[in-house]
Amino acid sequence: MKLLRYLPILSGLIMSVSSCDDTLGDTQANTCDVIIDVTLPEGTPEATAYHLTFHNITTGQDTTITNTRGITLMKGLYDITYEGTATAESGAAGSLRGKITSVEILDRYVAIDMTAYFTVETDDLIISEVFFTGTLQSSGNQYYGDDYVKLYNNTDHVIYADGLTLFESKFTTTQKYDYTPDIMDQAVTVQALYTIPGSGQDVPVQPGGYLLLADTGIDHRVANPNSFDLSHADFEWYDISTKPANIDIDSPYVPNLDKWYCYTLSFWVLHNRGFKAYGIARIPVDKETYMKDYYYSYDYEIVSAAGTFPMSQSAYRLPNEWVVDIVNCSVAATFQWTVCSPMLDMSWTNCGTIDHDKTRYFHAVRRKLLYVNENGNPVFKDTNNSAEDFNPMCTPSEIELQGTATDLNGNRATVITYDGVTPVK
Amino acid sequence: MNIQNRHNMSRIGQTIILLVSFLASTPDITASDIQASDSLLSVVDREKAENLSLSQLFDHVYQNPALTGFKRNHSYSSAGISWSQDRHRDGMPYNPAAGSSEMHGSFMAQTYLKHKQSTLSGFAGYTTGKIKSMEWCETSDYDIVYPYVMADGTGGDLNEEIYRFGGGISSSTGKWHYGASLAYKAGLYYRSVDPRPRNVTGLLNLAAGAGLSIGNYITAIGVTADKYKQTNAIEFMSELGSAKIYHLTGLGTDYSRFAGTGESTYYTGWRYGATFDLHPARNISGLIASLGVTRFTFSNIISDLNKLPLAHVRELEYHAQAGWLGQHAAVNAYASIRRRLGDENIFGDATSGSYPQISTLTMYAHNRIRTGAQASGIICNASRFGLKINAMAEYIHDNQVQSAANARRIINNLDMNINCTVTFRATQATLFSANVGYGHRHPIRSTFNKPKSGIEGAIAAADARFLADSHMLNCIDGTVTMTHALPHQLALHIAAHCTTTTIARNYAVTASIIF
Repeated sequence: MKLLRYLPILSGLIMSVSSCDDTLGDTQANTCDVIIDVTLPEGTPEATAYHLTFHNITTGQDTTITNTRGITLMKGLYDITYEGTATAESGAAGSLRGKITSVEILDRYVAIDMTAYFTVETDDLIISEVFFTGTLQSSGNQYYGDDYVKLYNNTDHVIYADGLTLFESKFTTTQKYDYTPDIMDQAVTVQALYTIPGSGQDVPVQPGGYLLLADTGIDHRVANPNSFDLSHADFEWYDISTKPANIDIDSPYVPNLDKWYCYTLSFWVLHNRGFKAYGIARIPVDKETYMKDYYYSYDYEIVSAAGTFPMSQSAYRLPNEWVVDIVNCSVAATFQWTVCSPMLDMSWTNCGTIDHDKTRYFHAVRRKLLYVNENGNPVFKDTNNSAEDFNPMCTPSEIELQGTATDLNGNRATVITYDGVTPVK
Repeated sequence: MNIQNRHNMSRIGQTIILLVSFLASTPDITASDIQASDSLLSVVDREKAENLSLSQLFDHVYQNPALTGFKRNHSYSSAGISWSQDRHRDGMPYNPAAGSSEMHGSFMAQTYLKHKQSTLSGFAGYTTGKIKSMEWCETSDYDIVYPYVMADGTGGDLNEEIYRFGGGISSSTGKWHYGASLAYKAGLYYRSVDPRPRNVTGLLNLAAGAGLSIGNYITAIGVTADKYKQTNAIEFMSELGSAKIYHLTGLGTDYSRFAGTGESTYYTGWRYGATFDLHPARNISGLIASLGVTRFTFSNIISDLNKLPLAHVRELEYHAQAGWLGQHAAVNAYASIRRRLGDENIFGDATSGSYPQISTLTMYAHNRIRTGAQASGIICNASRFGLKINAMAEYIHDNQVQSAANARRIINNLDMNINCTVTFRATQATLFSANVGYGHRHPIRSTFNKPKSGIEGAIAAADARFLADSHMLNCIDGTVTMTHALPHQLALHIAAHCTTTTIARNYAVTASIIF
């Protein structure tokens, strides 16, 4: 029992040890110091203001910094974006943008080089809405044909749309390969090109005016009561299918876009999970020249458990300077990369958050309203950053305007908005 | 539950029945042997001895199979059913990952048979129940696999079925003492509405020990090895969409990159331990001490991303215990230090669905220090009345860090408890007992620096758990039992238990046959 006298001493000793502020040392070695050099191509004006955003792909955290030295970050895999403002010698205000993806910041000290590009906003139409998800039939099955793209004149003067080409990217935002050659800094690789017909002044779009490009310009409510009417569309994309089982419908009410190229032998629909980028471009050469001179081949490797398989494919390229507007779409759960230069689009928008998300139907991505001008026209946000410029997962404007179904159960839209969020007063 | 799981569980059930049959018909130890070894004690006497036992303070030492035979000096077996319910009080904080309430029904059989120099022990049990309103955790065995669990913002009730069985033998040559044991626990957890997790857990434990009598004491070494595995699969059947699945990384943070993917995961790991124990050789009176170390590691792997190893956990625990066990009193002081580290793997860009691992960072750490003292004394052990008083005080320091979002949680609590057990032998064949206790948890320091960013719901759940763990508690608990002797050295045992604390209530009733 003599040992009993030691018990209080033992307890006191343990209490004093446990009251010390213990360290969790291994977790404290996870930071690193980063310096970053941003290169501007020759002739590019210096930034008047800029910021860097480090997006930690693993944790999802964003760190925004306004200098390029003395940066302390958690180790990890990062997407780094550079955004700044600059004024050209001509006096035109523009923006500086740069982005590098999947940067491994894992050592104690890391130096990073990146390039930023100067862009002056184009005086042209913008994409105001992409409805790629489609609607559902009452049986719960997907209904095809009512997808559309809406263009908008965000300026204060008339813009002629004829000659504008609607395109879809070849690469998907959810699957990344190391393509060789990597032409992303020069061009977008595309797999569908449909041009608005005209001689240059045939399709005027007034300030605050829309141009509706539809998949099939018919009243879809006849086939699917949950859908809506697209017979008033300005144009439709029509394909002569080589597969009798999959025939496109050529609406008698809506003129067709001039099909330059499409990868499919049946008919084109927008990717209904939104894994592509959609854009508009003004191609300064004629169709024959483009089809002849802008076809290229690229290589990549598929690495799997069964081995590494070299692959080779061909596609059309669309030079970046021809691109008027582009919007990358994806879903957070499977997003891998944006499929164009950051100069054109810094990020992406979405309908749904996971692959095969069933809540995505009856939703579109719509450009955000900045303000309504003195003429009553909405002015939309256009910073070449789709995550910032678009409202994701909105009720499509055509559903709002027609008061049709917003879901499988047929609940109807009751509010009309400018951008899927702000109601029209 | 799919057919394969039902089949597996059916096999486990059959194994339990076989084991119970085996325990009930142990061929080498006959009823006369047992009666010879316990000839001076009736079954009611043994139940009274259980109630007034002081060796409960040293349960940790008796987990060494070489020393299991010293836990009691009589045989004690039981088979019975029980029902229990835990429910948190409305408006009081609780851990959402553990649910707002639980209800269980159990069948449990256990035996502890002494025969000459040997002790045979075993158990088998089946528990079925439901955990209500689980939120932000779809993985089972949270306390084993934390902080890396799958979660969603929907949650719901979770059905559970748990099977357990095990057995061991402890023997002695007089100078040498040795023993071995084996135990297995399997669990099946499922929900029949979206989201529909189906979790299957398995824990196999092997232990062995050897001791040598030196003078009046036995010095023993024990080794233990556990194999743990859990598989999770979440399915969605609704046509209207599915909840987003997150892979949580502790304190409300998540592995953002794989949010929305990886609905099938598994955990696999090993635990190894060793103890050095000291125990009196005779009369079970004297110094009892134990020093031990345990190492537990497991990996969290996402099956449907080409078996992507998301995280790896390393845990090391040291514990020490020393005390004195006398005929009428026992004292005990103990301390344990445990550190758990979570290594999270960083992956590069996926190629054909495979993510190359480019680095590993230790992002999560959890330190837990427990130290306390316990004293127990038998005030009265007369033929009709018995009275035992037990008091304990424990200090717990708990420190968790998730460096990804600068989240940190510290809780220092002082727990105190005093309880008293009274036995009353109404007749030669009937024993009543009552246990009444009062406990108090006094938070000394509680801070939670929430993650700077993350999922709102998961952060709120982590905060709720923090509030529950650091809440000042007062606790009153009581148990009443009645044991009535039946023919053939059997007794009917009925117990009712109630615990009420500041934040929760627990009720349990048990009916069993002891022999």
